[in-house]
Formats: sequence, C-alpha cells, structure tokens
Amino acid sequence: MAGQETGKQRASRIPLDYYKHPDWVQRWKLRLTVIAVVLAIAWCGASLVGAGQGNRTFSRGPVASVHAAWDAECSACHVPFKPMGQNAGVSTLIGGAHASDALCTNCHAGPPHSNRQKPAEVQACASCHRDHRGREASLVQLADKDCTRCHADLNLHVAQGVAKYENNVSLFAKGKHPDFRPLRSQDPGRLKFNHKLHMAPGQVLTSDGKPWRLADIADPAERERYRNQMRSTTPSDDVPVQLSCASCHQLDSGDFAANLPADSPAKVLLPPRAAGAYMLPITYDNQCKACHPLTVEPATKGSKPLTVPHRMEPDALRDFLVNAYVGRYIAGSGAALLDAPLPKRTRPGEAPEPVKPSPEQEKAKTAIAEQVLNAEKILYLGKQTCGECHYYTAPPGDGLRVDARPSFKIEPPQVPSVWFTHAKFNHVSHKALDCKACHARAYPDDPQASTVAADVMIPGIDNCIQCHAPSSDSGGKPQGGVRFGCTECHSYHHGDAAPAGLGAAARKPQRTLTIQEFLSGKP
Amino acid sequence: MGGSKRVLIDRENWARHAPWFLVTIVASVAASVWYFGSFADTGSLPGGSSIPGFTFGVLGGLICAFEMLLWWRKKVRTWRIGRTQAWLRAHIWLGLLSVPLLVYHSGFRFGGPLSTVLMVLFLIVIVSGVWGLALQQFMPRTMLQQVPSETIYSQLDHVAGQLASDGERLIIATCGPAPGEENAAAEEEAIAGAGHLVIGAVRAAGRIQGKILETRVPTSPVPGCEPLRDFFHERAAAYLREGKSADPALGQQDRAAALFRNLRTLLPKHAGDSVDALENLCEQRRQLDVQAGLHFWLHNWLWVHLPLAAALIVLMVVHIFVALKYW
Repeated sequence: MAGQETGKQRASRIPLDYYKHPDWVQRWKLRLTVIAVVLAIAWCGASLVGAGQGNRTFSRGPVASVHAAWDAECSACHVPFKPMGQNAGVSTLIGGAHASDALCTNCHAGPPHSNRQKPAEVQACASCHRDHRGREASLVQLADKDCTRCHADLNLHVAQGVAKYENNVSLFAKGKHPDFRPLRSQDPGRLKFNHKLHMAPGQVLTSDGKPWRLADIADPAERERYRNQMRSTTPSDDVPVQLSCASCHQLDSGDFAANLPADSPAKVLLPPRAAGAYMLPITYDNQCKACHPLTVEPATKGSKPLTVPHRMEPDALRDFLVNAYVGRYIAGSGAALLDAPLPKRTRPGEAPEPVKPSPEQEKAKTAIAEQVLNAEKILYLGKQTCGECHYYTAPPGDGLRVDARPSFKIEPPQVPSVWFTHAKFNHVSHKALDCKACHARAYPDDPQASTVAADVMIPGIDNCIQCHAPSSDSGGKPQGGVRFGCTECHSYHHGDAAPAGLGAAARKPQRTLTIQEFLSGKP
Repeated sequence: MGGSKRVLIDRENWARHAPWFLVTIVASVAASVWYFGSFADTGSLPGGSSIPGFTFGVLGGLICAFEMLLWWRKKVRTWRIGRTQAWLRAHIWLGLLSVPLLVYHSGFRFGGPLSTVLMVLFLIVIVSGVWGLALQQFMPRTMLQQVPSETIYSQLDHVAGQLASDGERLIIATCGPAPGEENAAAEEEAIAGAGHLVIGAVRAAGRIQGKILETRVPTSPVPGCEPLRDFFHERAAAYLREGKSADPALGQQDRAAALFRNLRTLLPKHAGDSVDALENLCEQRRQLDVQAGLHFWLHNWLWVHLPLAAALIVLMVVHIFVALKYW
C-alpha cells in the first residue's frame, strides 16, 4: 500500500527511463517536423508534375519582360550544369561560360563589339546581360565596370596595336571621358547658314536693317504657319518674323508635313511619324522655301511668278528654264510661231531638207536665251537664291553662257543627320529642357553666337555633366543626379545606333524560327 | 530543488562564448568587406552565382546542415563527440553567422518561389531561434524562483498523483476512515502498522528552497475533522490530481490561503498540522501548474524552429540541385 513506502522508496518513484518517453510538447514537435518535411517534399513534387515541371517554382527569379515567354522553360537559355557567363562563381574553375551563348544567338546574333578585341577576353552573353532580376529589370543597362574593365586601359585589351580613339575612359566625367568626337572638328556640311542672323527678330543684326516681316512671306499658307509658330496675337502682318528652334528643327514630321502638297519632296524624304529621338532632316521645302522662294521672275499682270524647283542641278535647271520661257513666250506674243510650217517629211535614205529659221523664230530664240541667262544669273549669282546657301563645284560666273550648258554643279550639303555616331541620344527624353540649355550658341544674345555653318552646335561634356553626374549640392545649387552610366549613351553591339556600326541586320540570327520554335526556345 | 539554474549566455559562461562571438563578428565583417567590395567593383550587388555569393551560399548551406546535427547530437548523448553544451554554443553562433552569409548569397533579392520560401523559412527559423535564446535567458531563473518544487516535466501527472495519494493518506491518518470505506480503513491500519507517514513538502532555508520528503508520525484520528475530510474530497483531491482546471480558487495562492484559514476555524486545534500539510501539498500542485506553463513557453518556440528548419533543409537540397543544373 502507498502508506507503507519509505522516504527512499518515495524518492526513487520517478522511473529512471523517463527520458525515453517524450512529453506532449516533444511529441508535437516531432509531429510538426514530420508534417513540415512532408509538406516541403509534396510542394516540390507537385511543382515537378505540374505545368512547367517545376521550372517556374525553382527559378531563381522572374526573367526580364522581354524573356517572359520562357519563364518556365529553363532549357531555352540554360545548358544544364554549365555556368552562364564569366560571372558565375565556378566558371573560372570548370569552364563552359560560353556554352549557353549558342542558345542566346538563336534569337539575336549579338554582333561583335570590335574586331580588335582580344578573342579570349570576349565575354559570354550572360556575363553582361544578367537576367532573373525581375520583370522590369533591364538587360542592357549595365554597370560601368562591365565597360571600364577594358576601356579604363584599352591598350591592354586590343589584339594588336593601340587603342584607336581613347585609351582611358573610366567614368562619364571631365577628365575621365573624352569630349565628343564631332566637337574636335568643324561641321562637315557644305551649306552656308547663320544661326545668329536667323534667330534675331526680323533676321537683322543692325538697328538700321530692314526687318523681314510676315507680310514679306509671299505664300499665305506659309505666312500663317509662321504666325502660328510665333504665337503672335496681333493680326497684323507688319510684325518682324521671329524664328525659334522649332521653326526649323522638328522631331515629328506630322507637325508640318501634313500640310505639304502630295508631290512635295519633303513628303518622300521624311518618315511618316518619327519616334522623336533625333531631329528630322532640314529640307528646303519645309524650312527655307517660305522666305527663300526660288523665284526668278515675279508675278506680273496675266502671269504667275516663275519659281524653279529645288533639288535640281544647274544643267537640268537650264532645260527647265528653257521650257518655261518658251511656254511663256508662246503664251505671250509668240503664238504666231505655232503657225510656222513644219519641215517637209523625208523618205528613208533621203537627206533632210535644211530648215532656215524665220526672222520671228530667230528673234524668239534670242529673247528666250536672254531670259534664261538672266534667270540663271539671278539663281546662281543673286543674294537670295541658290548661292545664298549652297557652294558650287566651280565659280558659276564663267559657266553662264548662252551657247554652252552650265558646267558647274551644286555641292552636296552633307549635313549630318545624326551627330553622335558612336553614341545614342534622345531629344524626347530631354524635352523638358529649354533648347538654349544645350544649344546656347544658336541664340543671338549669346556672346559666342554662331554666325557660320562650320560651327558645331552640339554641347560638350561640360554641358552634359551638369545633370548626368552624381548628385551633389554645390552652394545650394543642385547638380547631377541623372543617370550617367556608360550604357546610357553607348550600346555594346551598336544595334540601336546604326550610324556607329553594324546596324539591325547584323543582329539577325543565322536561322529564323517558327512561332512554335520561338516560344519553345528550341529551334 | 536548490542550486543555480544555468542560462545559455551569462557572465559566468561568457568565457566559453567569447571565442565563438569573436569568430562570428570577424567572419561577418570579412564577408561584408568582400561582398560590398565586390559591389563597388562591379557596380551591382553580387548574387548567388557570383564568386562571393557562391562562397557564402556554400558556407551558409554547410552551417545549416551543421545546425540540424544538434538534434541528432541530443539523441546520441553517450557518444564522445564533444559536450552538448559545446555543440549548442556552436549552434547559436554559427546560426547567427549564417544570417549575413545567406543574405549576401541572396543578393538582397527574394528571387523565385523556391528561393523566396527558402529565405522566409530561414528568417523565421533564425527569429524563432533568437526568441528561444532570449527565453532561455530569463525563464530558467523565473522557474527557479517561482517553482521550488520543480520536477521532471514529463512526470508532472505522475507527481500530481503522488500528491493526491499523500493527501489521501494524510486525511485518513488525521480524520480516520469515513463510515463504509473499507479501503480507507485498511489504509489506516497500514499507516498505523508502519509507524510513520511520508509526504512531500516544500521548505526554504535562507536563500535555498526546494522540495523535501517529510516523515510524519501518525497520531490517532482527531475527532471533529469531518470538515477537513469533506474539503479534501470535495475540492483538494481533484485539485491535487488535475490542477487549477479542477479548482481555480485553489490554483491562486491568496485565495487558497483564505480557504485554508477558513478551514482551520472549523477544525479542532490538533488538526492544525494536517491542514498545514494539506496546504503545502496544494502549494506544490500550484507550482506544478506554474511549471507546466513556464515549460510550455520555454519550449513551444521549438514547434516553429525545428519543423521549419527541417523543411528548410529539404528545400535547400532542391535549391542546390537546381542552382547547379541551371547555373
């Protein structure tokens, strides 16, 4: 019975093997552990047998949106058990960093950066284009180090010789990045243009000069166009014309090409609607014609003004003028010339009968030749026509003769349509800025306002680094803060800066894919 | 039960933790320097496939595997592979070291579903471990102070049964068997034949307090003790067996004291010692309830820590395979 036990018995009544029998806290600990392990295994198993065979579940993160179609198709980009790119930890030990390049080039060829690179230093695609960093992550915005590992001392990385352009580029900053290449030389264009004069009110630089007024624009439609551009509130045409940058430099052809006649050369030259990265090319019809019409004979009573078309060389223009004046002569006092008898028709083998011009015909010929010569003098030697803007291959004075066709030509303008041929730039991205912030020399009030076309009007690196630099606050004046990485302006494969290199064609893969092949990632 | 209740980290044993602490700090700083140096060098946060990220992943994975070995070490207590205390110190400090290593391995990104689950599990395991460590810092001391009659947790029910038996013998010895209770009469005879009665009691001497066995010499039943017998059978017996759920009033120290004060007024003076003894038994039972509560809080974090750690290991194996396949 219980009452008979001694203190010793009582003290030893807890079983010695008590620890072999877990309490309820321990039992639940074990049960929960088993449940957790089973759940983990079940989740992995369910993922493996589900859609995508676990590829999405086991992915190290969502791929960029451009690769989203292959989010659950690892083998579209990965070669199993081969590291992707030189950045993979063990690629230096086990190699195979380039194994997956072939999969990348199924869709985009990735042309070489430079044919002077040391072949062993050419990185694998994935070394620079790092994916699995989220849908919104960019595959082409790279860290500067990806570029400067070679460009910081490029001589060490070219296969032969030395760096062709700049040896040391380590950062987009003064002294660490060269100034832009177009600024090292003059404008290669062969046109005459004075930004200071054109941007001045009324296009006069002296107080006693006669301002160019809206009323001086002959074409009423053009006059309205410039009035609208000036945002003039007065209905008077007696106001001086005030041009702005946008009067000539447009990003979107829709702004004025819509009003052009269907046969206007500008309609053909300009893209329907440009993306806006670069300014559209300047064309005579759009930007010059309103104030510089190629009129060689003003309107008179009963006749329209005689205006010659643009984009014609002097030789072709001679024929145009002859035809125009013949027509005018006949329409005027020379209608009787049409009544002159036609030459007698000859039989085969019979020599034609010589035709002697009538005195009226001789008179007309002389008069027309004189008119053509006068028109050519206006065009080639005058102040407001061809010579105002163009250079000739030879002085035109000696070539203007009635008995000989013009022997000189107009020099091609060769105005660059893109200035940064080794970089990319987007005007739309900078639309919040006043044009003057970067192109101050185009304004007449600038001390160094440009008066000749040889001036290169793009800004230098000093201008860019006001914004494109690390953020700082110098004397209460905020500076920098806008991205300034290499890939902001440069692209390795030059695909989207066609003037610099190979262009879109070079990025096309060797073999094109069907839609099914494309989506499966397996050609 | 006397003596000191050791906490995991205190001044007394800090000397044993100091080397681990130093290793953890130095390794964390070294990892940070390497990681952020690489960040400065490349301009982007190194991920798991970079050289530093891969290295941290391997080290972090090995640490996770080692951390799980503590469970196995506790199962094989007799093996001579270092003291469990030493394993626990390594478990604590290497576990903390794994935090910077695996966060750097992640490149500060959750990544896909698997890596996100891994990171979430890892962080919960770490936080629950730190929570457990914090509890271990003050709960043992609290238990020492509040539960001098502490016993082995798994034996609480067994000990509660003993208390109930002690109480029953005490009542029989004091009040005699109730009319018609043959078992009780036999029990009384047995107690009288033995010449003594052993019951558990809690005593304090200076700063030391603990559980003792008290041997009492039974006397002849005291007349007029029916209130004591009734109190025992109606309230105390159930309380001693089942705890405060059976009688919340006895489970509260002050209310129980009032009940016993009231009981004494109903009993002859000679029964006072027996009432003291019964009150002592009820106090022991109250402490066992307190011990059960403290024990639950001292160990329930393991319901989170251990299961999620086990799941973490399973998923980590999958992660390693997938990471090596699609490097």
